[in-house]
Amino acid sequence: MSEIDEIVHEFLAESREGLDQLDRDLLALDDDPNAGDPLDSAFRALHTVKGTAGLLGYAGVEELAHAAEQVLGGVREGSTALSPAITAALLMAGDALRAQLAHIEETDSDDHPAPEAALRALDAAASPNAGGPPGGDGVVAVPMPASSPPAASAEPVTDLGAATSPEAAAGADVQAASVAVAPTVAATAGGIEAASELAALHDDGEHTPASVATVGVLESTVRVDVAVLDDLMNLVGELVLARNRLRELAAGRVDADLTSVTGRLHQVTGELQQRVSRTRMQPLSVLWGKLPRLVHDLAIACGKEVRIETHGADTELDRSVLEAIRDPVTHLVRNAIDHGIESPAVRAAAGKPVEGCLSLRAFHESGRVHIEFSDDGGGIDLEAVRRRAVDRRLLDPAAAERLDDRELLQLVFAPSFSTTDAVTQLSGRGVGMDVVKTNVERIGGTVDLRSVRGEGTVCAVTIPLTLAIVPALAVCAGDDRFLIPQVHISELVRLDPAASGPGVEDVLGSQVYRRHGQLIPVIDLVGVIAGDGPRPTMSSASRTLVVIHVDGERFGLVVDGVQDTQDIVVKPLGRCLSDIQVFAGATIMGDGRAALILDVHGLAKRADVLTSHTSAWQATEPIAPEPETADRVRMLVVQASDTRQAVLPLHAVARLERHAREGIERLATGAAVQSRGKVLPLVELAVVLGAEVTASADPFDVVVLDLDAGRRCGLVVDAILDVVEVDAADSGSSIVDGRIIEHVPLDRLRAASRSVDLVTAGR
Amino acid sequence: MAGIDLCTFELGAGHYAVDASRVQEVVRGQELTRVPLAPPAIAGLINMRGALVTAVDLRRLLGLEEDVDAAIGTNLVVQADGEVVSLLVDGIGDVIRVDEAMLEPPPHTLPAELQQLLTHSCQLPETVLLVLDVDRAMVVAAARA
Repeated sequence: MSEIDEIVHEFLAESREGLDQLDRDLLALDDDPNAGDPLDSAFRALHTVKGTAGLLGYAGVEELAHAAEQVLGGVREGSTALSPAITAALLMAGDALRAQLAHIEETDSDDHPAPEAALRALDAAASPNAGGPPGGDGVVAVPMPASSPPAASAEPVTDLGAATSPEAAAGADVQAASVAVAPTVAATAGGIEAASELAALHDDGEHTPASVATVGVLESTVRVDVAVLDDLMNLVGELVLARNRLRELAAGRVDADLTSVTGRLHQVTGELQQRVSRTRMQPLSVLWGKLPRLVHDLAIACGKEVRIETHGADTELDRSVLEAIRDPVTHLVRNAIDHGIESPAVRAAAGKPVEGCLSLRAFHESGRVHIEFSDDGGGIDLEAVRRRAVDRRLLDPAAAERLDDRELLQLVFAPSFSTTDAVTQLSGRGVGMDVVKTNVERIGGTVDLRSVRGEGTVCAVTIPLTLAIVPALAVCAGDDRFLIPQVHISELVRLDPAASGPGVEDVLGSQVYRRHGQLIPVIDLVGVIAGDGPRPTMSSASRTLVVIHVDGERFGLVVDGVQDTQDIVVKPLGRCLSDIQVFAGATIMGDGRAALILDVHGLAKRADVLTSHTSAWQATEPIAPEPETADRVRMLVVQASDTRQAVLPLHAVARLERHAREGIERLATGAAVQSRGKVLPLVELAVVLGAEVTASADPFDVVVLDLDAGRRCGLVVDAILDVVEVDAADSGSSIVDGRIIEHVPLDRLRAASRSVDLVTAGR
Repeated sequence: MAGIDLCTFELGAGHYAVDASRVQEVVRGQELTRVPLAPPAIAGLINMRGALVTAVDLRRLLGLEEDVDAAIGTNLVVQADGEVVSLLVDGIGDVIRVDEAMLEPPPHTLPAELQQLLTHSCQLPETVLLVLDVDRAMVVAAARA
C-alpha cells in the first residue's frame, strides 16, 4: 500500500468508527437529551471526520460533516433544542457520510458531492436558529472547549484552504509530507496525531509542542493493520514449531546448559504465543457497537419498541471467530425483534412493559465464550412449530404429536423452517436459524434454544476462543502419525486382546464397543486410511480405542498407539489435498516431520458410521459377555412394541438397516422398501407377535432376515436392543436378564411374509 | 534477442524444464510425509523451513517408470496454480536462456497425457528439452483421484 493509501485507509477506518460512535451518541441523546457526554462525543466525532476529510481534500465529506457539526454545535451551545427531527436529520447525515466514505473507498476519489437530501434535512433542522455562521468560516467560529484535541488540527485546514485552492493544496501538501507522516501514522496514535503533525509541519509555531503532546497522551492504544497481526501470529507459530524441534533435539542430549536454555526458551515462547494470540483478540464491542442503531431502526420498522442491553462487551474473541459470528449475531437480533418481541399493544394487553428488552450477555467459561441472546417477548409458539412441521411434511401429525418441547425447539433449526406466515423482509425466509447453527458449528461452536411461552426466548451460543493453535493428541496407525484435536476426545480405552472384559465386539460385520451402557460404533483408523486399497494385516498387539464425540454423537476410533497431547499450529493443506474428507489440516511436529490432523466429522462420514444402523443401538443394561460355547446361540434382542421384546437367532439375520418412513412403498403384495437395489418385503413384528403397533413417523429399524432359498424379508421393529447368548436348547422363549423373552417364530414369519399387507396403515 | 529463461532438470532418462520465473528454490533431502487418500500424483508433504509444501510425484504425473529408491529426491519448488508446490525430480540442471524461436510444440510421438502437460519442446544440441506447464500439471495432479 502506498503511503498516501495508508493515510486514506486510516481515515476511512477511523471515520467509520467515529460515525458508529455518532450513532450511539445520538441514540443516547434520544433517550436523554440533556446528557452532556454523548453530546460532546458526537460533536467530536463529526469534527474529526470533517477535519481529516478537509486535510485529505475530500470536499464533499467535509461539507456534509461541517453542516452536521453546525447543527450539533448549535445544540451544544444551547441555541438549538434537540428534537426528534434534528436527531433524524443527524442520523441521516451519518448514513450519507458513510455512503460517501464507501464511494471514496471504491473509486478512490471524492466526486461524491454532499447529498442534497441530507443537507436540506440538516438545514431544515437548524433553521429555527438563523444564527449559524455560514460557509468555511464556521470552522473557526464554532466555540470549542480548549481540551478538545481536534481543535488543534482544525485551524490549519482553514489556513491551508485559504492560501490556495483547497484540494490542490491539501493534496500537494499531503503528498510532500507523506514521507514524514506515514511512519508516524503507523507508529503513533491514529490519524488525529498525523493530522496535527502535518499541521505542525506547515504551520510553524501555530501549534505548540504541548498540543501535540496532549494528543499523544490521550490515546494510549496503537492502531495496527490486521495483516501485520496475522504475520506476527504466523511468525510465532513458526517459533513454536522451532521450539518444539529444539526441545526434541535437546532431550536427546545430556547437557545441563542446553537443557536450561531450552527450558527458558520454552517458557518465553509459550508466553509470547499467548500474548500474540491475544493481539488477535478483539472485544465483542466491535460487533455490539453497531447493534443499538440496528435495533433502533428495526424496532421502528416493525412498529415495536425495543431496547437493547449488552453485557460483557469487553469479552474478547479471536478476530476470525468474530468475523464468523457477525452474521449469526445480526440474524439472532433481527429474529428477536421481528418475531420475538410482541407489538406494544399485545405487550400492554399481557401486562408487560410496552418496551421490549433484548439482552445480550457474553462471558468466558471453561475455555469458551458464551453469548446469550434473551428477549422478553412472546417465546416460541411450540404449537405453531408443531403445526408448521406437519405443514412442511417434516413429520406426520401423529409423530408431531409425540414430540416433547425440547424436540420441538430443535425443529426450529431445520432448514427452511419458519413459523411466521408473513415472512418479513427483515428476517427473510426461515433460512435463518439453520444457517446460524451451521455457521456457528462450522467454527466449533454450539447453539441452543430455551423458550417459555409468554415470557421470552433465550438463544445460547458457545464458541471456541481461538482457532489457530489447538491442543491435539498424537496417534499412530501403521507407520503413519496423525493428530486428533483434543476438544473432540471423550476418553481413551486400552484394548488388550489378552484381557477379559469389554472390548470391541463384532456384530454382523460392524464393530461396536459397549460404553457406559451404550453401544457405540467403532471404526479402525488403519482401515480408513487404507481407503480402497488393500488392508494391512492387523497386528495382534494391544491397541487403543479413542472415543470421539462430534455433533452430539459418539464413535470409537481404533488406533495402534497413542502419544502425547501437545499444542500444535494448524496449517491448511494445499488445494489438491484440502478436499480429502478425513483431514482437517496438517502441522509440523517436534521432530520436524509433517503430520496430518484428522477431521472428526470427515472420519465419521467416511466410515458411514453416523448414518448406519449401528448408531441406533442401545443396550438396556451392561451384560457381561459369556464365553461362547457350542451350547449357546447368539440372539438379537428386538423390541416390537413399547413393552414386548423378542429374540431371534443372529445366524438368520443378514443385516440391519434403517429406513425413513417415506421409503415405504405399497405393493399389491404388501409393504416394501428398496434395499440395496432390491425390493425387500416388510413384515411388522408387532403384528406377528400379536402386539399393538405403535404409530410413528420416525425412521424405523429393519432386521433383514434370510428366510429360505435366497428369499429375504425385512422385519420391522421398534428398536434393536442388544445381542445376547442363550442356551441352544431353548425353544419358544429364553430367559434373558431374569426375564422371559419369546423367540420370534421364524416359521410364522415365513408364512406371514407371503401373505398380504401386514404393515398397518398407521405407519 | 527475445527469449525465456528455463530451469532444466532431469527425471528418469529425460530432460525437462520449467519457466525459471516460476522457480522459488531448490531443496534437497527433505523428508516426505505421505498423505493417505491423496491423488496418486501427490507424493506427500514436506517441511520447508516451517512451511508445509505439497510434493508432487512428477514421475507418476508424467507417466514415467517408477524409481524404486526415490525416497528422498530433489525438490524443485515452484509457484504453480497460485500456490507453492514441490516437484520431485532427480537432479537440477542449469538455467538456460532459450530463444523464443526455438520453442516448438511438444512432439506428437509422445503419449497424449504427457503432451497435455507440456507447453513446448525445445531442440538443444545434445537433447530435446520438454517444457512443463506447471499450472496445468497441478490441476491434473489434483484431479486424478
